[in-house]
Amino acid sequence: MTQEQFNARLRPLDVKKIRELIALASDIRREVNEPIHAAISLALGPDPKTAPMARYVLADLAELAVAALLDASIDKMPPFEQVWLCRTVVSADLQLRAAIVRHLDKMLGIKTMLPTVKSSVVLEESLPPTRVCDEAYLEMRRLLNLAESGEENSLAERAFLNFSEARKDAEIHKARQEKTWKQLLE
Amino acid sequence: MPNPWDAVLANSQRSVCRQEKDSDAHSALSPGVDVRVIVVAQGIQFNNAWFDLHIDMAENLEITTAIDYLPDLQVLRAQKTPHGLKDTFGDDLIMLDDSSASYWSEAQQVQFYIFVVSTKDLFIKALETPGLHVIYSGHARYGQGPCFGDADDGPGENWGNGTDPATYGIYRMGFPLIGIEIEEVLKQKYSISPVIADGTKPAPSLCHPEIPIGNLHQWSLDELTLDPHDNNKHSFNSADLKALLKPEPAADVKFWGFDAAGHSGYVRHILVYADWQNTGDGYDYDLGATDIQCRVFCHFGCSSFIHNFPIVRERKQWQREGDYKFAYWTQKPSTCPYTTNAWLSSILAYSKPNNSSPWEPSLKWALQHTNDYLKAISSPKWNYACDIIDQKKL
Repeated sequence: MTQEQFNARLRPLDVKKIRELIALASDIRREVNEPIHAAISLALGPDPKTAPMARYVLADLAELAVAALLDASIDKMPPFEQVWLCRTVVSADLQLRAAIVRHLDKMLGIKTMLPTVKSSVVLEESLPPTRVCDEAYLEMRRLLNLAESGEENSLAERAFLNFSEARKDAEIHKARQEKTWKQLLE
Repeated sequence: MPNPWDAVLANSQRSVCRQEKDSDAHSALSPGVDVRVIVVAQGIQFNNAWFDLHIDMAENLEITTAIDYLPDLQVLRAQKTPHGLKDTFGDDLIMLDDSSASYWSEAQQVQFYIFVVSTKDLFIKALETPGLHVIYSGHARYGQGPCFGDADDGPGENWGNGTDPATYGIYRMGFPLIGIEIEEVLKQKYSISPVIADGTKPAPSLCHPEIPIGNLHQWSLDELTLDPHDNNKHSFNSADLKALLKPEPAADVKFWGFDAAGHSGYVRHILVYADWQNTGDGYDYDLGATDIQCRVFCHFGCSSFIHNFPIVRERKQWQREGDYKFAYWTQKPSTCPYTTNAWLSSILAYSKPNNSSPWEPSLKWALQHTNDYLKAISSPKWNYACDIIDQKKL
């Protein structure tokens, strides 16, 4: 789908046209996945000439190929291909995670306030104004605190948002000094 | 009073008609069609009657400064349910009357019915009806529970236990003890049962998790109305607060309270009884007295995950069983009419075969897509993202 084709389909819609927007996303996904599925088929196929080339292309596509690779059935896949697939998707995920960590780390230093948002109806509760770095810190927590339950996460996030800016800055500084974060940044 | 969904559930055992009400056209579906009934229980201030009243006022240019937060007529109309879904589904969504609609999903091969109710009794009946998908769309009342009222959202007991507790007021779903802002109690003017301070701090197991037990104070009525930043200045009149305390306290009694972030900054709170069970005084309108039989329960009021998830899932022990007893909550303040309509849109828009299939795949899809949608329609000016969650971290 070209940029013009995409624009031609999107512009006549409005954001309420959920079914049409989902169909648009689905068509894009299908088009993107078509050559990826072809590559997976060759990568897992018997041809000793095309298989390594296809595997190399898929590795280079990294995160773009992950969803399609995970859709491939491993039930009848030979052990070598099973392990190759597993290594490829994890490697792609690690590359993506490293990019996300670098991005978040930059955001952790941005102290610009977000605009004060309203609601179109009166809400009983409101959260205090936040800065870009505060929001990045919450995303950092989501990424790292895997052992934390949903309840613990919600309470910790709300507590953080209600801290003074100085205390939030101290929390962010401490988190950036953590060994795990530093290792992820390397 | 008959439940609006009874007839549909009874008919679904035989056949289902898709024609508009009073239409002569016949399009009966064969037996065995998967019929899914969604009941939306709208709370005080966010119900269709309230929206109608304000649409009428806006149309007649009677908008006052009190409601100038309401952006425009289009926004008001979009928040009605199921009316707001018309923009998404057009004529495929058939309005059966002003509070119900049907939708046939060709892709899912599922017939949906949506019924909107706005009273506590019908909400309880929906919770107790096997197989229903029940959504509460209204204020969380700081965790006290779903709260019902009519078009009048003025101050009064409907913000508490209700003028007619069977129909209006709070359906208790909260921790035994909750902290409420003094300002809120005085603004809405409803009776509360404060926790008398006897020197022994309440047990943590009784307290809402955001009550700062280490920073609880024993305050007199006069002290409760002081400005947290200035102990020589009163923010409120103690006589106004006294009139709302039930039972009426003795003159020298003290109450548990604390200062914390609230709706308008750092404000004073009072601890109140808000238990989800054994509410007492013949007040049986609580979670403890309810036999929940529905298949899905969504609480789309503010921050319901923190307020009510631990009560419903852990203390009431209403836990997921296979493809039954799903529950969804919000992690943040929620503009619930938008949250509800976005959730309904995602449920209806799911585009895979779903007839006589487990509900989980479509619910999982709806969870992701509702969150994506609410984030997408949020802007630097308006925020609708409330992060719906089941129980796992997003």
